Amino acid sequence: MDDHPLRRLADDPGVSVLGRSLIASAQDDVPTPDGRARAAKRFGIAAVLAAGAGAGSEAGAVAAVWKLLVVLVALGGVVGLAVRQSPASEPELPTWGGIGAHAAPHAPGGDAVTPAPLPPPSSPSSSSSSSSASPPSSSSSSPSSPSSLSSPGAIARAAAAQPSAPPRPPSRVSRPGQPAPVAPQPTTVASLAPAVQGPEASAPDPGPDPGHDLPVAPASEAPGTAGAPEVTAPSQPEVAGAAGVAGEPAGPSRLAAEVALVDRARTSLRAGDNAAALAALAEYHQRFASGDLDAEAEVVMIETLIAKHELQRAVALGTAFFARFPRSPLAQRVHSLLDRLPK
Amino acid sequence: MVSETKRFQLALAARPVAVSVDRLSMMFHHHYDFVWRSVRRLGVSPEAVDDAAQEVFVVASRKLDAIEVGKEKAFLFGAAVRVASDSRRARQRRRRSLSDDQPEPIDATPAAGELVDQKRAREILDDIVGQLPEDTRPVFVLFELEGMTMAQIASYLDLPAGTVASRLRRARELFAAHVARLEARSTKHG
Repeated sequence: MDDHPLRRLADDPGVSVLGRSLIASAQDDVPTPDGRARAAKRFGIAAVLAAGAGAGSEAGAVAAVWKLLVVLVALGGVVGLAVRQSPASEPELPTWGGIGAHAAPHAPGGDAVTPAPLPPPSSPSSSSSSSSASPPSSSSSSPSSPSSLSSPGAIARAAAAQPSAPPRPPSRVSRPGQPAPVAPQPTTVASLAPAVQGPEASAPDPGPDPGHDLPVAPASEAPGTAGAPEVTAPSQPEVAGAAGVAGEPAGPSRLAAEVALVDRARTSLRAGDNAAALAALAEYHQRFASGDLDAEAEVVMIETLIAKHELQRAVALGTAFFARFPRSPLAQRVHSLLDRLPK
Repeated sequence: MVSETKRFQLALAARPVAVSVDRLSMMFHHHYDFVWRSVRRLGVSPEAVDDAAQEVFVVASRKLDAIEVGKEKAFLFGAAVRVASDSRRARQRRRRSLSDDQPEPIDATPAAGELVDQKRAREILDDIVGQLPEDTRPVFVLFELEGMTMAQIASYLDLPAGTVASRLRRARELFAAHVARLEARSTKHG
């Protein structure tokens, strides 16, 4: 295994104490549990898995993940079977979203969604999840959205908020063999499936309903291999639609809906429809007072303003962007946008 | 009957999605810390490192199908190199645009005697690693800080072993020179 002829600097007595101590200083530089939890939340990854990263036994963790996979596949079979046997009059497909949404309250185990412990970026989403049960006068209500938009209700939001459960102690990692992960499993499916497309995925044919919007996104993911995504693309909207029929659109999570709106804005912008892009952004801000994709939305806004030749406003927003999102990797994009403007 | 078949197909169609979801979960679970450390050591500033690590997984989530099984970590590292490089460039641009008269804060290092806390040591380490030539930096990070073997690094970076060895040698020489300069300064300052 050890095929390197060299000693590492950290172990090399020939290297000065200073040199070695500099190298050694990197050893305990690790992500904070908060940062990891936020990342997990963004990707809709079950907190159980996320918390396992870093410390703990890799082998146990692998076993746990594989167990989850097996459970998932089994679940797929069961659902398929159930669907096969269900009478035609029953509501369409229990839906992955539905399963996830119902499982969500159990998913975090003891970690009920508590808004408090997380730092600013996540707390708004948590609070919106708690307020969504009885939409008050807050900006999360959506006057301009189509009827189907206004119903991403409590269940879906709970599913979306679920991954924001506070970071767990590493001791969680050592419990991978237990059957508990069964609960988080469907949540992963429900909340990540759309989120995986990432904020940059652009829906090729944005409809008025994000529930339909989003699942189409996979088709745009690999333009080169247009054939494959076709298989899933037509099916998922139906699933989401079925959920809509059932009452609560359990399919699209909050993040998924955010992605859908920002994508719609971006797609409209690319198609040269600035008005539609601005409308989608306005809807985004109306529905998500402080969304996970605020920075992404802001970048599209700046691009739209540039497209409309409203350069002063674009510069103003761009400058404000650095203050609002100083840590965003999108800052680079904003920089290059502003750099290209005529001086 | 038709709708039953259709529903069954829907259920089947949902499965690949779910599996890919879990692949990303697994990658996240196993490699998030590695990715975080990598982007950090490759020059992303402490306040931007969480976002940069997320960015790497965003890239991975988009290219999940293209990532060879068993090469997840290598893919993530490659993405981390690019994300870190973008981030460094953006920061340099920002510095230039925000304060033209402010020189790059290179070598703002203290005397060695001041190296009392890890944080300061890390800042200096980052400063030195940041000054390594771009092509040597990943090799240095993987070998010296991640403890990988030369063969692993060659495979990760898709480089001939000889290239890895020469880049590592160059990086180590430069590192040693920086450290020597630091030490010289420290003795000069008493």
